[in-house]
Amino acid sequence: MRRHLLAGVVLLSVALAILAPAGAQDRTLSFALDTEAFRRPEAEAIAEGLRGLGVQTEVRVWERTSLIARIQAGERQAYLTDWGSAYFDPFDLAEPKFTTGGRGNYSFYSNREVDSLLVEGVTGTDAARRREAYFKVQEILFREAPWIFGYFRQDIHGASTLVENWEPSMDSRINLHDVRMARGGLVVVGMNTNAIVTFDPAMFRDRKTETVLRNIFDGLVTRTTRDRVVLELASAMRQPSPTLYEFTVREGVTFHNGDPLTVDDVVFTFERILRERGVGGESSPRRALLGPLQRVERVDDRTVRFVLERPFPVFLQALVHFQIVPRRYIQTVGDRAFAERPVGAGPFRYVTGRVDSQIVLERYDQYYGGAPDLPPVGPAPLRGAVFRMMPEPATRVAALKAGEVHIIEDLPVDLIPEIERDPRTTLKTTQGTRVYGVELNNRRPPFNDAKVRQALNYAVNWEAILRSVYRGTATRLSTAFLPSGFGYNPRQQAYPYDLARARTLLREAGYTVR
Amino acid sequence: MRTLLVLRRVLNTVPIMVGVAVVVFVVMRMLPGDPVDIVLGQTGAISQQDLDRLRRDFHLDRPVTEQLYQFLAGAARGDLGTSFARRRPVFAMLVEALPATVELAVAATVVALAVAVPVGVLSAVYQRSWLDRLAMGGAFLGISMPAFWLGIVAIIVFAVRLGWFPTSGRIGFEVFLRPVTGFVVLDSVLTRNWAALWDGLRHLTLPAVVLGAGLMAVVARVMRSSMIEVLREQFVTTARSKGLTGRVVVLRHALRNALIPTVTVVGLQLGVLLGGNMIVETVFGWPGMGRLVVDAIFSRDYPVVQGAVMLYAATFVLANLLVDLCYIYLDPRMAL
Repeated sequence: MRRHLLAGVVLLSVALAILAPAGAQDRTLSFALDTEAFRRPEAEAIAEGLRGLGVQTEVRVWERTSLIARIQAGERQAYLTDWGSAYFDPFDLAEPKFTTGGRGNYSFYSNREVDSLLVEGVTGTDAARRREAYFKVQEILFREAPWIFGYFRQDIHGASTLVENWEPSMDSRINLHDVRMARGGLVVVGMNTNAIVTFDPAMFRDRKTETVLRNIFDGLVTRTTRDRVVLELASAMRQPSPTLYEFTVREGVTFHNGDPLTVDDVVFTFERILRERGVGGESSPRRALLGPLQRVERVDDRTVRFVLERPFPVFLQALVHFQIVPRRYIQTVGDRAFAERPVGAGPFRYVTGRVDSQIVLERYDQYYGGAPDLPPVGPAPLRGAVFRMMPEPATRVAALKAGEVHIIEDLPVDLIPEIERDPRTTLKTTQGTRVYGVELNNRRPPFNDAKVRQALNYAVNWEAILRSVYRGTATRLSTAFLPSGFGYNPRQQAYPYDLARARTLLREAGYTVR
Repeated sequence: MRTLLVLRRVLNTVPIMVGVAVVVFVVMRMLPGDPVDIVLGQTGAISQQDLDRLRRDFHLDRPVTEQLYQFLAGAARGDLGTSFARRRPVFAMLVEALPATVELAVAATVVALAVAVPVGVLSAVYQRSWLDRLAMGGAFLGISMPAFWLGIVAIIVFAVRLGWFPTSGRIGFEVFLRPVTGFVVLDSVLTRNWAALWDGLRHLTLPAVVLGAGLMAVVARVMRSSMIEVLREQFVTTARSKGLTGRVVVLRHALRNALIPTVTVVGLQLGVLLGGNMIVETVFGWPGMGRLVVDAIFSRDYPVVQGAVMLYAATFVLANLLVDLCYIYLDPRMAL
């Protein structure tokens, strides 16, 4: 038995030795394309297209976290990934994705010039120069093609025709303050999640939780359905220096338990997050969202000052995501109890509910009115609102059609006709803020060669893929910058689908093409 | 004697539980992926300091052996740790999710037995009749239909088209029910809230039928075959020859004996159902264990997965114990 095995091994080694030089002459480009299950059709389409060129691509499907762990360990070649941006600035997109050693830099891209341009963009004080830096980064990225650049998608939601004055927000929050119902005065929202994380605004990092909490809590500032930041609990804002922000806290605002909202509540809200183990012995996972914020000070009865270590041009965008919490209430009942029975200063009051099933809110009649720039101002027209956790899209659509819910999140493209066909429901879409692409491992062959990377950018027929897989709800990007973000260069064109140029580049890189 | 037997069975579970605890602890840590990374999300300039801070909070900076010891020591005291994602005690989270799952599992079993036992008996008695063929054809369908598909179809037909049942959820938001035990049906009876009871049952029906469909099919088939076998036994012939009517023979003499294999099947399946069915829970927006655990696995929430698996192990052990006790009742020979 053992002798047979040995003979086999010897034979195999000889065969390999003979075959290896032949392989060197006929160098086909072959690599594994790794993806999560939900993007498999797209990956298959890419692989199919590349096969036409004689590029051998094997599609493999993984669970998200496992795949990312392997990518980070440098063990993968090409991978379909996505990255969201909440600040409408490359600060939380290009910076982590392309800075040398960046936390999200899965392509191991490294370019000194890009590094310093990104520093300029993220910390600069002059908007024109920041924009210029970002333009330059896009130019370099396009040329060096660290990824096969992809696309962004529309966020597609569904609503009952009874719902009035609701438009989905680009930051994916569902602001119910301004919404009216033609009948009933109550809106039920079908959420695309198993559970939100918590009711404590200091203890979550996901957008779904924020969607619910933002109706119970208000921030110093808020955002329009697009990217503009407007005042909310603050009645005025001053920036005496690039590292100092001062806000006047609106008068006559009360929390749902009747306590007036003061400067102390604002200071307390941020200290809780800044301090290690500041939330009942636990550290807030939101600290990093505040960037270089050093401390928050009470200036006088109505003024609060934020002191930054260095300039942070996206600070106001960041502040949108921080909700003011009641100091007295939390100090009295404790952080845990607060998270069970949240008290905020937002348009709706928490009545009952659980993070994994349904959350019932009712209008807070003493509401101060909300952002003056987002009419109508005053207590919410709605009597109440309910958020229901409905992770299955088909169930959300069924519930919308049955009239049980009035707004549903995240409609998959194959269910769009269901909503369009029904006269009682409408589609609501907005521009998504997530970049999808195919990242390449720039550190290892074959993708350490820029020619190969460029060739693949020419070789993928994105228009056809996006049309067939996403039915026209996705838009091609020239690099990994979003049109909704600051510093996007709208004049930069994406790589065209050009097989001739792909072939030439692959030949130049030493590969055999068909 | 019997007490001693039961006591020994209970004590036997301790090493099983410890073994399960160690296995799940090790397996979770072998999965690729960093829980701290997941908690921190994508946005923001996250520094090494931020990562370290959370790692310390979660005690992931300690040696693995120390973490294991802490987990076992905690579990022995009934403290299963704190969830990474939700920062709540795991025990409280399980206690919250468990009633929904148990309620659904019990309802599914009741529905399955209520249909499957009579159907199985009738199929056996009227073997090869049109009724038998129809029932066994139905059972075949029941086994082969995926719960996901069946669930969606049930929702579209009975909730959207006919409007008989709600699409999903456990209870309507307009119905106020004071929680006592966490079981909707039980709580509404305890607080004499008949509106809530009606609403709760309406919400329970579709998921219970869908979850029960597979079990229904299995039980009907097992019931039929064991009934056929029993009806051939000598004591049945004896009973018949004594002049007893067919109904008495079947219900009094044959059924009890034919139930033994069924009890085994139901016991094992109940253990599975009590683990929570992620698919049925997802389709029907049912806030149970299945969704909680799957979510926890994807977010590498070690304490939640560990706690839930311990609970599963305990449930299985308990279900097996119950099956054994049922045997003793159904077949007095077992107690000897």
